[in-house]
Amino acid sequence: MPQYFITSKKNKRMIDRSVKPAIKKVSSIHLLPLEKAVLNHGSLLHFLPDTLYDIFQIEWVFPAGKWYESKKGVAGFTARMMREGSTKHNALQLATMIDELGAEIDIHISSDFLTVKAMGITRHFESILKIMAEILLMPIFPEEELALKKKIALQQLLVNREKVEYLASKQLMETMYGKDHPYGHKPDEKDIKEIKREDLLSYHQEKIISSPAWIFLSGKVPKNFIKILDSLLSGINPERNRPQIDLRETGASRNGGKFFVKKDETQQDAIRMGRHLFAPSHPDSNRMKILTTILGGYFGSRLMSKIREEKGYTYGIYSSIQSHVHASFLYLATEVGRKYLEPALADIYNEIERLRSEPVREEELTLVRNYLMGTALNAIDGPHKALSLYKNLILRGKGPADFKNYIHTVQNISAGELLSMAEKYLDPSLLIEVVAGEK
Amino acid sequence: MIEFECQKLENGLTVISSYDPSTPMAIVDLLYKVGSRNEHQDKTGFAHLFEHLMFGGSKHAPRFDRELEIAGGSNNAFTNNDLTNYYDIIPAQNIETALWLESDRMANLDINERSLDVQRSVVSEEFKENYLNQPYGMAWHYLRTLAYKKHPYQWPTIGRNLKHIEEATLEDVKNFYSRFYHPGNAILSICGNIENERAFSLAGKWFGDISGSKLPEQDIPAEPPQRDIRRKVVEDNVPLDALYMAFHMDGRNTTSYYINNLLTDILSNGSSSRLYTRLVKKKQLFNSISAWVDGALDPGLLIISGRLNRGISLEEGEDAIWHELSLLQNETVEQRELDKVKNKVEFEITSNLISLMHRGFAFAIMRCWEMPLWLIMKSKNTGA
Repeated sequence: MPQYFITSKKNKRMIDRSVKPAIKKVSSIHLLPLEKAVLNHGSLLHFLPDTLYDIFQIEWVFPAGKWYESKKGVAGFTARMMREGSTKHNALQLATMIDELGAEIDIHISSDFLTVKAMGITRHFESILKIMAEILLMPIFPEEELALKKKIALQQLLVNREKVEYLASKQLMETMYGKDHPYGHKPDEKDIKEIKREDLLSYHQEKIISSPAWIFLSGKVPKNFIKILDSLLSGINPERNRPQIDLRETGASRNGGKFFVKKDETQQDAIRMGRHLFAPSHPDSNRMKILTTILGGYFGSRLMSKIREEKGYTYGIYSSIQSHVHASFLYLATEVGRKYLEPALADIYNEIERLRSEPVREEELTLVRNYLMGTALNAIDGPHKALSLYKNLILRGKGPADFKNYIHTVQNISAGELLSMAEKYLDPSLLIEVVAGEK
Repeated sequence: MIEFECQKLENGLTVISSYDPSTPMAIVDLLYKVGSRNEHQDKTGFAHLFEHLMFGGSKHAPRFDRELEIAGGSNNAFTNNDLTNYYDIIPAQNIETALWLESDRMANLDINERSLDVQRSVVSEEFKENYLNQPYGMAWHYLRTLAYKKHPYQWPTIGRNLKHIEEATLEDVKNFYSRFYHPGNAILSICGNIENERAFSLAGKWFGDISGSKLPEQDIPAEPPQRDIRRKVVEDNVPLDALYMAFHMDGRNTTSYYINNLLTDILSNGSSSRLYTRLVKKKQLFNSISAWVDGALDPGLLIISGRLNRGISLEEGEDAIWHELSLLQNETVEQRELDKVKNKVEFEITSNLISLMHRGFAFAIMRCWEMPLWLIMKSKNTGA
């Protein structure tokens, strides 16, 4: 390779970079049409095919998250234990079978759902699905595996409690929804110690086996995939009703307040702020998403511009609307150096106040509109991402019309509407503020 | 199969294009061959600090992020030991905005005291958030200092300490920019809904007039062989004892690099891996454990790290790891176990390439290190 590169300027036209390239707006966004099928036993399959890559992803989603547990931590431990042994194979055998196919099978819970997800190479579709069905239908939750998982969880809890970000968000969620509410609690030592094998067996029987799931499948699959799914799931009772989504409000705390969690020997304070807003189907939902994007939802947001790019108080600061099935809430998070805590808080409240008192100018509105349209286009790029968007809509009782609605709101929202959203929902006296650190 | 084409501009810029008509998006990935291995030992963390300054605006685009976002794009960047990588994801119709922005900050970065002041502070907060204020957060600093005595891999990308970042001067910034940020030291990778011919012509349009410079000298000291085991014990207020072990290995462009990669997969990739099934589950010595290779260009490290269960001594944990390593040395790995990790590699590569972002970077790095595209797949033919 030559050591020097010399450009001959004679032949080279210099480009005038003071002239920006023209921008073409993203004017419409087309969701790939979703294919649907009802499986023999009653579950509803949502499918987006792919022809390019020899990979598939399938998710079984059950209404069996924390919301449905009667004893704290049971949903989480059921999820963690489902791979740890079935009537046919022990934990190591199952793990080996999965790894030998180069596949991944993960089980996780959220506040509302328990999800079993498998990803793998298309030629192993049937073999992977067989293991998945075994994990779903025949787990035995062995006593000794449970004891180990509990021990690991108890020790992980000790590590988490060393982190200011963990302490602050725990306090925020407890304050917002209550220590005994499924959206408000994280299991503590006592909860973990009291988990029994019987709890998991009955949770699995009642909330998973007897509950038809939503199934989401994307990627390249064999031609006879419906037949394969039907034969593997014959063990599930042909079920009565598809899961219905209950959209009642949670009766969460409506009061704001300031909280401090002490943690010694730290170099930064974690700030978490938020408040409960409404059910996700609320008509203000899309407008609030746009408002929190302006506040702290992207790199050019007001909080990032002010607190990171102008002041250098933090590595990052974010705000968003987070949605459970039954509730949406405002969430704001950052970590700041100790000497910046007071000025950073003052700036955050000041930015919130500005949204409540001054209309967003047209230039900024165009910026956020274009940014959100580009992001939406990227969010549905390819069958896997598009299906993930469908999934989030469907699990919240929504559909493609709601996505169109969101796009319409992005393109048409006015500064006046944003101002009234801020007045209605960003009253500082109703915000919960948590700081975790040394003070 | 995903294909790409590669050309070189007169000024030395390597350009890669990979047309994908199935997406409405495009990615512009711009890789500069500079990382923390190019830093002076008294000014560590500088390559990463400089990455932050690249977002401080350039002559014709004072607000990089804003210009990209108004075109519907978003972006980020990362620095590691060997390189600094910038990427922009944007609707394909606006790709010229990304090329305009990247070319302007390659040619005309606005270097000023204010931007340096703010980013020194931001990076100091990043240092605290990810290292100083995390349990076990400083372990990598200790490990690298122990493993390397001459080579700049002895400090992590974030830098050796906060002081180095606080002391960075405008003069340092200017020198660094002229030394490393020019076409011959960069690779531009364009993936997405842009035909190859158009991608090359746009690359020429926006980058062709930036003058080439002398390639930076590579005066990086080689690490002398290590003769004896080195140990360090740090007492800190952490809930569980943690153990970190590192072994010197070959650099990226060697066959043994890929073999080591598979060995660490055998040790700790997946729930049926050796360390997890034997030391976490069966013997219950560790709360968590993993093994990996650090992916460095020059001879890097194979690392094993784990947190011990309460009541288990560091010696017990270490002995168990040595025992597992001796099994790898003395017994042939069974074909079935080898096939298993190869299948995992195949899946991981395919699922990574679905993402346009990963694809853009993957092509850039393969060209950067002059590896044939599927060299990594060659490891599938490795014998036991």
